[in-house]
Amino acid sequence: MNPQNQTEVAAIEFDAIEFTETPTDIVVEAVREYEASQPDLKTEDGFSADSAWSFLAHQVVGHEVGQ
Amino acid sequence: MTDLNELIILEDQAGESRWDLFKQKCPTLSDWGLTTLHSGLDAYAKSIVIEPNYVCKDHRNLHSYFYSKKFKERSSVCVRAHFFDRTGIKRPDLMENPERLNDNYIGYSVIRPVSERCLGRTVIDPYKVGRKVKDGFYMLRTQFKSHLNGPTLNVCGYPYMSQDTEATVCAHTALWSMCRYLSERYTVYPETYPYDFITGTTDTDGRTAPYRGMTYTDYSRLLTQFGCHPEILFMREETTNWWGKKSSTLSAEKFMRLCTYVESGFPVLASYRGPVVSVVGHTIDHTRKPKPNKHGWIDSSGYLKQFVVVDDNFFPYRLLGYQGDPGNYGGVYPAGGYAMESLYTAVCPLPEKVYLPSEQAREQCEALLKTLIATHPAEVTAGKTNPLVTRLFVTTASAFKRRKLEKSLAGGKVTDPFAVKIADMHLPHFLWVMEVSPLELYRQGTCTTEIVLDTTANGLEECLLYARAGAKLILNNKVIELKNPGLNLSMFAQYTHNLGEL
Repeated sequence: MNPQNQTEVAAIEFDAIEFTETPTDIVVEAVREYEASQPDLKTEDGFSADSAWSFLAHQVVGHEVGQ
Repeated sequence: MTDLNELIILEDQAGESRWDLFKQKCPTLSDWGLTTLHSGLDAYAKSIVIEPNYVCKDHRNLHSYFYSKKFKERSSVCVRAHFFDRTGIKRPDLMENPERLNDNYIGYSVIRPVSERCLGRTVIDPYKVGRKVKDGFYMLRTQFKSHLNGPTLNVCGYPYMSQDTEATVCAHTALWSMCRYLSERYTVYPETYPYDFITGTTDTDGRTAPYRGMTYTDYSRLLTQFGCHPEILFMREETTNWWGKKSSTLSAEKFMRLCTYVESGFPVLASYRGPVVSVVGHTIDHTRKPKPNKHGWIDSSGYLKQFVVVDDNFFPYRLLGYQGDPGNYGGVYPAGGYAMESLYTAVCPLPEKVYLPSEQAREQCEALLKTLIATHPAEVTAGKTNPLVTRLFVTTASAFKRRKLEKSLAGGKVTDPFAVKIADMHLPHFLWVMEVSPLELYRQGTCTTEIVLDTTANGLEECLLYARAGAKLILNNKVIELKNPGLNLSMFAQYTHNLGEL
């Protein structure tokens, strides 16, 4: 749809809605990019290095008291 | 013997204010209680209606398990005060068709017969005490019913209670507020009473009553027992300055995550490493100049001005600002006080089926947004050159669909056919949504792009449900466009249901 060639309308009838579909690989590209951004953090004991670090960090932070 | 419970109506009289009369009629109202209510209500509550004998389920619970065991007898019966924004209320008005007074009803406060910190369950509608969306407040509310000797009045607010300083501490009252808000709003959660939080506190640090502080592990355990699935955010990070001196500062990344959960409409338990408060909303300052991220985008949390908090030491709905903010309520605490930078831990009570944490949802959305900008720049930017603002939140699919349809259907006609397409989708209970707008449009409450993820996905699987960039909908590896000519689909309204709207 080229807006320059159309007169803008505010609304259409519910039953008049019509869509077109075109294949795309946008999502596949995005997933590839996301996966490429994730370092392989798995270690042999089943923790990722990140979660193991978080676990240790929690122990160090210790308790704080709400009064 | 049956006592009477005749309602008492108080208004200013010659020589005596309604607050003086309130104190006279309610001997259990302490100076602290009177000052606290006066500070938040004096400008709005023009008349006060008192129920002299009120059995409060929350105080009766504390009385049964704690106060009844004390040597000196103390009543288990409270007083309840109702606040109205007008004068001239007569007893017949309260007995016949009191719903006509709903528009004037600000809320109520239970006055407990305990020492000093006497304010029990209190629900005040923030919209009726100067904290509406149009005043810049975006905050949680839910409906509570109150019965005045039979007839019903409704109030929408966030529940508040002061710590009684004998059995309960601030963390108990903050947890009680959070759980009562959730149980009143969602039937899946059980109603929970103050002493439940005391018995649920771990006893590894000694006895739990009277008056013992709690830790975030207690909050997590209690919220898990309640039926939530809490995520704990440790808000501090260690930084080293030029001279090698280490200090602990507020983590920008954790702050952004906290804002995401607040924007999602979850009440959050936040600790300043001492006082514990509920974060129930925020205010916005669009004139702020936040630093863009590595992609050049700005997260909407950069425009957050203050958190709206419920701190049991003050009248509800205080503003927690950054250091130097004259509106920051936390400055009145001793030793320099508290500010946004003082946040230490935050406990976010998530629903079970939000498996995908916010940071992974954000990474996935950002990867998709990069691709959309590369493939559909005109749709994402709408021809604007100012930076893109991203806004990430969780919501339910039903509320999301409902709002889209409300904004797109009128009189059998459709302004945004994509709303109909989205309403027809089979979606999970909860959604991660990232809205994207150029700054100029963000300030106007509209967006050009939205990316919607499945909250039950894991971080390594494709969790996209659909994305929209202007007049293009990306669904199941297809780009869907409208055949009908002429409709302007380049932008659509922000979703604002999570905070404020019921």
